[in-house]
Amino acid sequence: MLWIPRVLLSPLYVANEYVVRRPLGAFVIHAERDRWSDSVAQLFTFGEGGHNLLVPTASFDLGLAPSVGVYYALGEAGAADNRLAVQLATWGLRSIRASAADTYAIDEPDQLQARLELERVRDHLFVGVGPDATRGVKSRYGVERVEGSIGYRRRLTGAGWLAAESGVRRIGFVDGCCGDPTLDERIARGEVMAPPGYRGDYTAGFGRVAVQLDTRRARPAPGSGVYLRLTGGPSVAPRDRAWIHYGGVAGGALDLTGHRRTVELQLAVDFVDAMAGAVPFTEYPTLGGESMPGFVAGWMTGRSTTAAQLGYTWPVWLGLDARTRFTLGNAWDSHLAGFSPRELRMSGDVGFTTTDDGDRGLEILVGVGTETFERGAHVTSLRVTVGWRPSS
Amino acid sequence: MIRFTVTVTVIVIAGAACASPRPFPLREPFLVDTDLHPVSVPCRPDPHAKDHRWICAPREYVSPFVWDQLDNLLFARVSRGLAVEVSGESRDVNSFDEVPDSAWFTNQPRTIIDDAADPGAPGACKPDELLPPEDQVDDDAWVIDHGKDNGSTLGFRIKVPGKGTYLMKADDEGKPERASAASVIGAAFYHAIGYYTSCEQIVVLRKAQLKLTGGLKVVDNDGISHPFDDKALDKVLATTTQLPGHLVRMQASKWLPGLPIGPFRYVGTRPDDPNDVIDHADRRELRGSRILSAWLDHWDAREQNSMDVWLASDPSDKRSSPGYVVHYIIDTSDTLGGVVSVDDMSRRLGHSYDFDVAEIFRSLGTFGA
Repeated sequence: MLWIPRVLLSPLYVANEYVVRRPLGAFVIHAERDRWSDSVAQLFTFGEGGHNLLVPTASFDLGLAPSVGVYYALGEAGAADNRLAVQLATWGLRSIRASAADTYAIDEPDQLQARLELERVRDHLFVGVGPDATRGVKSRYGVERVEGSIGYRRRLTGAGWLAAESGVRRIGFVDGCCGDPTLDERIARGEVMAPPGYRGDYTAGFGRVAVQLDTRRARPAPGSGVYLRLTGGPSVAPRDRAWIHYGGVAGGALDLTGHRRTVELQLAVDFVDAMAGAVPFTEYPTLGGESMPGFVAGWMTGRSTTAAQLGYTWPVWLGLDARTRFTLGNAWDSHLAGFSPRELRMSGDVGFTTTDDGDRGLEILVGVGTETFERGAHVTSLRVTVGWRPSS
Repeated sequence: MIRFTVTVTVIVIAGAACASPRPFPLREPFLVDTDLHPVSVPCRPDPHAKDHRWICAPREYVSPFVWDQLDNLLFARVSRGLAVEVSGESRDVNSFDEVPDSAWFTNQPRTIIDDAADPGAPGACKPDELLPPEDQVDDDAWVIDHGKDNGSTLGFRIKVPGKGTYLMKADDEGKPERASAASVIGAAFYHAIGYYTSCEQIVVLRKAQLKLTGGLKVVDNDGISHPFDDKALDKVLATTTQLPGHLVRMQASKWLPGLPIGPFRYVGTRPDDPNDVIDHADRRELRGSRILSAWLDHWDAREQNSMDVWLASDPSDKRSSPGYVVHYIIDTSDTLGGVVSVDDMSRRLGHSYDFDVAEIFRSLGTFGA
């Protein structure tokens, strides 16, 4: 009776065998014999010494525009200790992101970096400001952002580092798009108030200092350790506007087995305070994305944010970890005004992530986020993301 | 009439289904496979020869390293699944339900204990293939005539007067004695079970007994040619296990006889070998080698670590016909605890494949327990 499943599966077999397997096999064998590549990893490197790395990228984040692009890195760019990295990602006119970073290693722990980022994204999410944000007013707005900076970074003991950066950022607003009502439409219908600074394009100079003290060690060492990251810096915009960001993350990780079965608990807070004039809402701290993975980035916006996260990470394959996290948090008014445990939201997620020590890699994640306890804590957000995790 | 036809048909089918087992063949059990009989292979111009000579041996199979991994990890599995392939019993068995002696395997009462009776000749080594200790070798006696091309292990090839040709391989840097010991022990086990293996032995030598032929070149894993000169030789000797008295320890593999024609495959047959008629996937000795590999933790038992050689009936012309192919297991240096440079991979060696979907979901579901 085997002929029955064989007949049924024959189209798939023919497609796999003659459209995928054999042509791909012939291609890879040819590439290998002509020494295009001696390993799978080297398929993406080229040039003398393999200094050029070109990787196609793609990402999908449910609720946001997907993107496809490339990541290019050139080692020894003009100098032995200089490295150039360029990222391009787009989904047509809905989303265009480009960045370039030139990093020069002064010596072993010290490096300088010049960075330029361009972004034109029309599907930024807005669901309100503060703890009571609700998907009932979910809307989209567009932003054009140009940002350039120069910075210095020094590696400290363990996985710690110190960084200082100064630059200029230009923010312009464009029409939102992509399914949901635009923020302009919501405002025109009186459904939401315009958030502070909306449609007021501005240019701001900024400075930023960050330090991370981290006792965790790189793989394959056990993952236990504690860490503290503090960030802060002022921004100054024309028309007597100025504000200051500050915040931090404190956490601890315990490797249960010494083989990277790691429980991690962390608490993060972020603030922005006005020094003169009003702070544009695009400068507010946000939650969502990495900070509360059950929500897309920017779901929660406020003058301050808190997030407490308990996570567990364990290896499932070579270079691949599984990770599950439970997070409590929300966005608040200035200095956590209005904070109440009943106003917290929950976020839970599980997924895979590559284990490179850098901040880029592949991520597959499914998560959910809830309303506040006060509102019943029912699920209000489903997040599914697959693809390239860009550098932060 | 219809009823009669149906009745007859049913009776015929039922009768066929009830046929008695075939009688046991009235002949001697098949103890030696005919694949050891010389056969002739069509001749063709030798593509590697400069003097336009002809070669009358099976074509060399160059195993694709990357595709072999990808195909075995993913694509071939998908194909087999979609083809609903089912495996039956092994086909190369005789009426005793045993494999006959063949170009793959030899049923001989040889055991490790037998070899222990001649402790100087491990595994497939004959006593006269053993290399002498360093204090019995004159300076410049062993001539290096070739560097060791690509591969993860450093080494070189030597010609030893009265002994023949050997490939010398260094122990991995920082892991003294491991690779050389594993090679000898692993090959001895394969040989004792019945597989064809090369003669592997551990040698202790001093640099002075080596004589380097000038102008040698080696090709690295990137396909780039480098000179194999005194500096390169020093690097090889500095990498391997160091012993007191400026001596070093290396592994010596006796050069296989005949004409190497590349690895054998674990599936299919070699199409230009008339003796190779049973799908390798249906060969019991190859299926059994999985058990042996598991026992020895021979996680690197990929096809590249096998070798077919063409043994011509005319020993003076190894490219001639008639002849026959013998199938060897080579390079067991990764048995008994071999590791690689990637720690996560080393931890999984011997327990899962390079890409193991079942293992991934097991780890996911058990939270890494």
